[in-house]
Amino acid sequence: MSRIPFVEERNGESIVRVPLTRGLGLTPVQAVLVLVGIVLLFGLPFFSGLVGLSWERLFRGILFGIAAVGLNLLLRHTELVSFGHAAFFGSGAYGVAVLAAHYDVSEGLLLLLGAVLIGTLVAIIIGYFVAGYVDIYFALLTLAFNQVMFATVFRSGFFNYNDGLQVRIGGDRPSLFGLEWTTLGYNLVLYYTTIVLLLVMLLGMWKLINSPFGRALDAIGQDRTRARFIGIPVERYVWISFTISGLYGAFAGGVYALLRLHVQPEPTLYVFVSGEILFMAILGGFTTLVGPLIGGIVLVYLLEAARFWVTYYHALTGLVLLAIVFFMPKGIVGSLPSIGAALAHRRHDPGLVREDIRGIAAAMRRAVDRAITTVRIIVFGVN
Amino acid sequence: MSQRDAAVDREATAGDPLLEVSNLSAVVQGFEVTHGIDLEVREGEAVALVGRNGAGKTSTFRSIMGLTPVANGSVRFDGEELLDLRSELIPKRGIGYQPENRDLFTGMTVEENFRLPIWTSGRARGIDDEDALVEDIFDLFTELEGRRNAEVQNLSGGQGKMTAIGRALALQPDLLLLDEPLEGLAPVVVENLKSYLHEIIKRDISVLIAESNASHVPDIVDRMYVIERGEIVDSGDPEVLAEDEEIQMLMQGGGE
Repeated sequence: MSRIPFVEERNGESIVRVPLTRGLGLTPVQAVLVLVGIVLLFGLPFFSGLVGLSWERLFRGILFGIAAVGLNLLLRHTELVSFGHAAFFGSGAYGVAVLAAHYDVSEGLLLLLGAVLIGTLVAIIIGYFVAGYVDIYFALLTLAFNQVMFATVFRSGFFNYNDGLQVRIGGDRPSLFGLEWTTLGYNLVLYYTTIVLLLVMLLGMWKLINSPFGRALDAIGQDRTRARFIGIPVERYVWISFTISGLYGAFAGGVYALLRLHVQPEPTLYVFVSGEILFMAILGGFTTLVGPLIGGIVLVYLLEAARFWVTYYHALTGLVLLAIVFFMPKGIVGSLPSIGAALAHRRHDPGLVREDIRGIAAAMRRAVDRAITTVRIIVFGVN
Repeated sequence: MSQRDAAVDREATAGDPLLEVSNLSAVVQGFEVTHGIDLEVREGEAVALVGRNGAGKTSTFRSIMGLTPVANGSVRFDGEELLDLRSELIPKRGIGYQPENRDLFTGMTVEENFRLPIWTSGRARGIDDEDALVEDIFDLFTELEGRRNAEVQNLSGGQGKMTAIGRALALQPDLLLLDEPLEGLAPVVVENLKSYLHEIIKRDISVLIAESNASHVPDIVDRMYVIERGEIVDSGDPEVLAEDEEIQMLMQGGGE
């Protein structure tokens, strides 16, 4: 029954499945890509020097990517645009910070568990209020909840205002698996623990979206009335998916706090963070499961790398977004199949490349002609 | 009125009332679009609701399904008041609804469109063999068998209607509401679909069919209501009503 492929849109073509991946419903190509992805994730600390960025920074990209994977459950399936997912990322981060700073919890995994519980609780509460809304109302409500949380934390002494909280227990960083680590050891253990949990979470999400529940979410996304008259309890299902979505964000935020050891409102709770998480999902390809994760890594890489190259590096995000919307509306991962097909066509028939060039040349000629005509009319008037 | 009384007398033997709509006024965007609709479907009965486009057929169906607000009136199904229920519970009580525009779940296959209601409402309907039920629907609509794994947006008009009816049947309903199942189809497809409807009616499911063409339904239904401007204006034997000149005038938009 599970039919939705790793990468969508194959127009009813029958898909060959290798026995190994049958349970997951992957094609051989997808299975290879998944393996390559897993190897890259596990190898990241060893070859990140090649891309000119420390792996801890890319780790941060992965964390925002996880939040984007969560957001994408709403975006892709129930077709709801949340502008407030930093609320869960921030809840997770502050969950860790508060438990460490105020309650002296010193074990990192306990902190993470607490953070996930707190973030999920926040998602349950917000979800209760927003599940009945759609479109712009849903977007604005999530934004409003996010903003309320930010403003509260920003103004509250309990959260130490703008300065934020240290994730330290009497000056020490938390332990992991009950052991104290050096800085590098701590980061590596945290990284690999996160990667293992990430793979479990991706598998869980994959199973979820291919389950009857996932199909029901698709149905809700298409038309709520239509979903109701076959008996789908729309609000309750949206509420559940919103909560799951928030859980992913809370997990990501919790790990972020453990990595940074210092949680401030602006990088974790501010509504711009919500926008970035949304942007990551679109950049990576919201029609796919892993697209948002890749979008998170790519965006953080672009932001961090560009900081050294250009003064107005934030403009770069805007330019990338424009390019994506105009040329790759399905995002990086979502566009892979069509790019692959186009390349295969051209390898098959080199004449197509010549046609491409001719097409581009013709388009440029037309643009120039039009510009000349416009100038002529402005300067000389009609005729 | 005497004709109507006679019809009620004749049908009194058909079984207990399953659906009783009384004095129902549906509201669309603040306007009352039906005015005190009274109709009834008995167990095992096939009934048609005939009227022109805009007469209030779809609004009546939607208010039975809890999808349109109601100003007053009552909808009792199997003795239970449906207007008090949340709309998603109504299919679980046993009403399958085929909306006028096919309203299928695009991006999913025909089979998935059949399975979705079973997944979400199957337990409430006491369905324990999901596969058998799906096969049963494909056995009925033999034409769909070959399109089982086609995504529904690639279906023809007739196949789409069949899928929408099949999806309603997947609830194993006691009552089917079919909103213009024959509308917009080529004559040969209409005949084809009518034979399927006949097949469903024979299965002991109660059926309420909305139809804008009075001549389509007499050979498949037991009883007929005529709706005009949101009111039931006549009811009775479909053969008699379909021949009635006044009704024919009404259907063509000339009557008053």
